[in-house]
Amino acid sequence: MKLIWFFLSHQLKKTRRSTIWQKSVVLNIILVLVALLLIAEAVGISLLLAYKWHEIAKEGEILSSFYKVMAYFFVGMLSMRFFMQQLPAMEIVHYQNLPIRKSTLVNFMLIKGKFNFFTFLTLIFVTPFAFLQVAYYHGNALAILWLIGMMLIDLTINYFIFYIKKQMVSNLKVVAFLLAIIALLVGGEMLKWYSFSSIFAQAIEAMMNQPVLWSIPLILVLLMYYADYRFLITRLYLEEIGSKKTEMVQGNRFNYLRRFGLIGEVMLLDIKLFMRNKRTKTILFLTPIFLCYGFLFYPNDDYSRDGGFMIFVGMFISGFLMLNYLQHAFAYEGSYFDMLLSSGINFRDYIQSKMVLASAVVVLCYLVTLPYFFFGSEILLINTATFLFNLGFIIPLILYMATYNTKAMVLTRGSAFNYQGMSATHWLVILPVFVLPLLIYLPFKWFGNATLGLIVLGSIGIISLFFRSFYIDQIHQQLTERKYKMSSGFREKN
Amino acid sequence: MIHIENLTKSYSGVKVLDIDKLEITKGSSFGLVGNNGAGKTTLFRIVLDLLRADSGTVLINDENVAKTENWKKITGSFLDQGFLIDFLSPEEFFDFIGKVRGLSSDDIELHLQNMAEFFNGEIIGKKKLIRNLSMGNQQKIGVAAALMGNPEIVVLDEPFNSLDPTTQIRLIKLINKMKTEKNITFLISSHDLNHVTEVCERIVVLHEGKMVHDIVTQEDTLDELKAYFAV
Repeated sequence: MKLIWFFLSHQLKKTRRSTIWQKSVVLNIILVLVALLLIAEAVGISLLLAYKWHEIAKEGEILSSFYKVMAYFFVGMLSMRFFMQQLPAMEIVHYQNLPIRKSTLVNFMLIKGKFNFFTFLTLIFVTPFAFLQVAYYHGNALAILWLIGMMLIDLTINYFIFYIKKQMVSNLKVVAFLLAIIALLVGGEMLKWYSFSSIFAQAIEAMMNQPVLWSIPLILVLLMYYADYRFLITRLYLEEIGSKKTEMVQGNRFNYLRRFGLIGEVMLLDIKLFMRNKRTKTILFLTPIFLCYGFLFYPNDDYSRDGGFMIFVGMFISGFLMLNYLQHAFAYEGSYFDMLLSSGINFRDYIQSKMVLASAVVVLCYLVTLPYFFFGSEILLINTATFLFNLGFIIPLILYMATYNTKAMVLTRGSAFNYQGMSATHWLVILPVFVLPLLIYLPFKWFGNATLGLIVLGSIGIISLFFRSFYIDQIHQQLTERKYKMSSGFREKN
Repeated sequence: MIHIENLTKSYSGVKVLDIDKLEITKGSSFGLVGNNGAGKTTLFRIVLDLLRADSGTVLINDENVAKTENWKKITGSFLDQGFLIDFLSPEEFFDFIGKVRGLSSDDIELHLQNMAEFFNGEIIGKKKLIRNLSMGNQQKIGVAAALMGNPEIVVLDEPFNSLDPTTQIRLIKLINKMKTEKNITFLISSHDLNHVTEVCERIVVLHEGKMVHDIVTQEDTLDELKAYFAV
């Protein structure tokens, strides 16, 4: 038992001493504020929902309609947990060589895994409803039982996902199996074959009438826990539980880039960097979502009249991937920057290759998002103007600013909520991207000629394209000046 | 070949490097020994223009390394893992370095064939990324990359680290062979006194950034060094 306390205190220290916190105070405050805001929103929404549910739902099925919502909530949880949750397997690595019983380690792993963001989310979501609605119809005792029951179901899902994920390491079919379950549940309901949410609601109602039945979710949790336990205890070897897999090298589809000599080689290197590291892969996965960003605003007429905001959206759509690539262009290569410096690589070529790749990315994003013109020619004009501005002006600007990012990026970790390698300069760098085009555009808009503003914005981009060689010289000079600072910064890992 | 004068470097007021004058002639192999914090890596980094010296100059072929870049074409180096691109396979890495150094694919192939004995069949054709290889194998890749493209100077920081005994012996043979056949100037640092005396004709002992010994390797050099360090 004493051991568990050691484990927990190690966990606490690990969190508290994590390099995430050793950034600037300002960044920490912003992060904490954002986290608090999100929690407050979650609490607020669930409170509001619970408070108003009897007005939202139909008379006579107030509770059962909420149970149906819960059914969907749990399916959503299932998929969210599947994609985002990790069994804390790596935590036990440091203890494996010590004389500690395997069962202690496995129990620690499973219990620690229970306390996570998603469980917390479920708790926030169901608690208000338990006391504001369930208690009203069934009394406090049953409401508490209901709450415990919901948490038990959530835990069952939690342990089920652990089990599935560990199976997955050896067997990819499991993913298909899980997707099939979810598709069957949701699809069946949509096609009106059957309704899993009504079945779920009926089950909950049955349990409310016959409280003994609440033992079913309890037994389910224990069963899932036991299954996990059995699975892990026989496989407590690093290579089997760890998520670290040995990657195989595949051939590369971009090899034709080599025809462009050294510039092509460096571009190829950057493409491989993006496709083979977890952090950069996350950015690639996020890109389609940001390309769809326009759907949020463009169909809405109110926004399109207020063009200032649309400029922002336009800059983001064609610029998201480029910004993510260029502002850390050197920091991504932090782990081997010394080699680049001493290898005798031609820095003009090196810089140019980054500009060419960034341009290709911007052009691609622009072409993919051309269909937005269905929302009107005005939208097309905005997208084109911001695209040209990104292409001609923002690319060299960001690459120049990137020399101020002197923290190496650790690429092997995912990028969602990952602030490693970022600093206040990171935010400062991003600022001109959104402020500059507005400064150019807004005066024209205020004088009643918004279209002319867009044309000016695009023209600046085009004119700027002719100064590429000049920009490359400037960046080259800047890089030569800052290379010592950058390489010593990159050498301090984390 | 390499000419160092009045070189100093301090960190927060503490001098970590202070060398009045050091001349390394072409084709000689130069060994650098010293305890942790003696300034070995700092010296190498300044020679490779990865650190800015507080004062003094390093000249390679009469060119100041901090002002020109021509010396990079004739200098190969491997200091630490920071010289490896870990998300590439060894083949891709050699290919990249080779192209940067202006080699053709055939040249690269030939170089890798020459390295076959040193690699001991553990590097090429394994379909693994460098980050999934052991430290020893990563070390082999770094050393082999430093030797690419007929360099005149090769700088290696602790090249014997984490190599298995067979590979250590092969590396000694390889360095001696390159030295006599291609007249390469080697700059090698090591904690292992045995290895340094076997590879280097001249050994400099650094202590707190200063050159405290400058020895031409002879039969009794190993004993001399051991006596110095056995404090």
